[in-house]
Amino acid sequence: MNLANFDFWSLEALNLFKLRAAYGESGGFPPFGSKYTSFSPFNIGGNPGLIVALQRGNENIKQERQKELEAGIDIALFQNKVVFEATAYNKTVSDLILIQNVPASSGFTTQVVNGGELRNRGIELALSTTPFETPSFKWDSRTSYWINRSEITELNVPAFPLGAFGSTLGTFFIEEGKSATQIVGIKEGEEGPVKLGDATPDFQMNFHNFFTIKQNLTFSFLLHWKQGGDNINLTQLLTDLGGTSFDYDDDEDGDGTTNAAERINQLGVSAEPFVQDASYLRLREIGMYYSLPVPLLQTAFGNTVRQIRIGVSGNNLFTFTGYDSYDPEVSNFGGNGLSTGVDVTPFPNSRRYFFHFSIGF
Amino acid sequence: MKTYIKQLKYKPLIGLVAIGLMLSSCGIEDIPDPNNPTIESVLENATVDDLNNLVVGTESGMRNSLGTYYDNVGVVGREHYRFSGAEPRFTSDLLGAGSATLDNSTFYTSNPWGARYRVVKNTNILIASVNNTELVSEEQRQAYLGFAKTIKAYQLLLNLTMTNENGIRFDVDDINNLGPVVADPQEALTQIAAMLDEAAAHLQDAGSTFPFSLSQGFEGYNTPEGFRMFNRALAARVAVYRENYAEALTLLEESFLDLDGSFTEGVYYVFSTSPGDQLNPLYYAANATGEVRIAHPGFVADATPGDTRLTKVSKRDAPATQSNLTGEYDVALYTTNTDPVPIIRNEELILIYAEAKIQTGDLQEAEEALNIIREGSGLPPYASAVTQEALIDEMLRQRRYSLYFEGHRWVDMRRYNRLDQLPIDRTGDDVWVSFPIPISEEI
Repeated sequence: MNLANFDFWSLEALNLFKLRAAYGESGGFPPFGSKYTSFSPFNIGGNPGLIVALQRGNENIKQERQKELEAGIDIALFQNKVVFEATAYNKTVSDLILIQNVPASSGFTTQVVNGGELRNRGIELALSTTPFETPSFKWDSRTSYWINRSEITELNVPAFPLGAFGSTLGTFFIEEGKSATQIVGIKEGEEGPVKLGDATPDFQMNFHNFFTIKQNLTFSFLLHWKQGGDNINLTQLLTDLGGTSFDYDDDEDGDGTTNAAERINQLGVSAEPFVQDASYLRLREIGMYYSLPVPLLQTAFGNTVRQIRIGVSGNNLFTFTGYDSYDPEVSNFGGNGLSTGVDVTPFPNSRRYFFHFSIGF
Repeated sequence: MKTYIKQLKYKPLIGLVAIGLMLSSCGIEDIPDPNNPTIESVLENATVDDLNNLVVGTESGMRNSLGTYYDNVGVVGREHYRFSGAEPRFTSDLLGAGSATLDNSTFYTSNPWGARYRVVKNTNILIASVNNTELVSEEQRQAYLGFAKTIKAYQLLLNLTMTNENGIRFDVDDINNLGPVVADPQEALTQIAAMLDEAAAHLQDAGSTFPFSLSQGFEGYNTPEGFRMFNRALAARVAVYRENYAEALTLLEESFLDLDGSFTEGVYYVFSTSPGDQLNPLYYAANATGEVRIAHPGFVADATPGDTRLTKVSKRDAPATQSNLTGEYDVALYTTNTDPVPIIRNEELILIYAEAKIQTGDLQEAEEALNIIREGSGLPPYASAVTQEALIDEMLRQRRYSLYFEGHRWVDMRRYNRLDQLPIDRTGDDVWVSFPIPISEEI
């Protein structure tokens, strides 16, 4: 609803003032085969055989239900030179589909269950501006900011670890009333695993800028800032054990025990050293392009060539981070959302350079 | 004319409504698993083929997580070190480095436990199916039951070996209502022994041939009579664990013990490169790096010169080191990734015989049995004191070398209360008595 289109709107500078709200529901299917308690083929000595599958079937499994309510406001000033968008959302997933560990003495390891309710709440803000605009130079900028908080609001199965490698090294732990991305582990002086961190960032920001010089030359870059959010850094542990960490022989606190030895001594005692802040500021993209002037093309090729554009760009050129591994943006278990940020000697994101040359006929 | 048109209009409508009422809403038909046979499919009137699939699956599943199991008992028993470029806990948790302890949610605890119970589940399904089918003869039924209960008992024994005084569950047939954990090791061993006896009784009534085929690993033991000898051999092992030495001697008589026979005669896990089969997880190539099993230095240092059992390790081109542990010898029991791994073999039976003789006071016979082992290993006959105490030392020593990396050293030292004699390689290391019960058991 754009209030600026109504007659009563008299503020000239404010050309858009839109309030919006949306509600949606969708279903999520359980993984195929969740219902069935079946056999897996297992052979020996050339004979075919069957053994019970690792997954125990759940006849009552049903779809999970996702409900999302979001509301926002869009404001544009000075003929869209400044556009501000804000959105808040509340997303709940009821009958949440979880892969639960069952007592292994039953012969099965896992079962797919409708285990509870997950709530995600968040805010997204974006400010697009054109701070400078003349025929020979134009600067467009878009800054966005977003945060998300999740909580397991209801859990009908016993709390269970998920992903990662057990509580000696830190593991994700699904527990009622807690964040869905909390990391727990053993800690000295504590009975049983305790919360050591959370993979969800405090907030994230993007800063995207676009410059046009003399209509033909464009330059753009995108900075991404992730503040907070922990990783389970096992790369450092493995390099410590292999004697190859960059600070292996350093002794930061000057107590005569090297950093690496201090960390290794915690192995089996505390998982705290492995749960590390993975904040970073990364130059995600940068590029510069030049389009040959149209009159020049017409002189050279007549009407056959409409456009020639050349340029260079790069991805992931530099990262500022205090995180001690190859790459803070890592996931040993893929991007399934519930156990990202486990760092086990990954291949870091590659740094890529491109040269562009395009002709339009 | 008018009525005719009316009829045309509403009659199909009535028809549709009627059909609609009959069909009610459209529901999704429950279909069975289109990809795999379900467990229900064998529980009623299973055919011999159905049952045989379960037998083969059971035998095959016995090999799952075997590598982790042998690493657990071998590393804790100070038989070998397990170095891994990607897994530090073999040298921290298992050896109790610093203040590290065994964890109940880590793979070394949960994987072997789960793998054994998976086989137990398969045997329980086999037992339920065979008791609920008309399509097999009585002898065949006894054969299946004898096989299933023997393997089930053996799987439970392996889990009890790990958890010891933390116990195991026996009654696991009803997955919604699992039985209690039997935490007293003597009580648990008694139940395992009873299960083996039951199985042996079934085998006695099972005729002369099995209705199913087993792999090459059971060659010579794939008839009711032969399999019963295997069953009695396992029962003899359980009997000495229970310190029922006289019973062990009786059981040995019904086993395949052969004092003059080959040490390697016995029952094995077999491996192959065929599709759907498994490779020997205990094999690593000599001089490998990254993932290696290094013989504990004590194995070579404590050996008597000339002991041919030293060929179970091989000297590396370069020593391997990890986490302040170093060894110069690879574990070299297996030379290819398809070598069979013993479940129980004659050399162990001779040693059980010697042990039972020592404990029942027949020292002469015990010494002779130990000399069979010594001579078979290139050593001169035993020449020290013939006392019960000295012979127990000698028997444990021979077991150490004869059954190296077969999962016995730790158990032997535990049952003779000698875990404090196992070497501590780094200050602060611990020798564990038992593994915890996995967290998934929720107890």
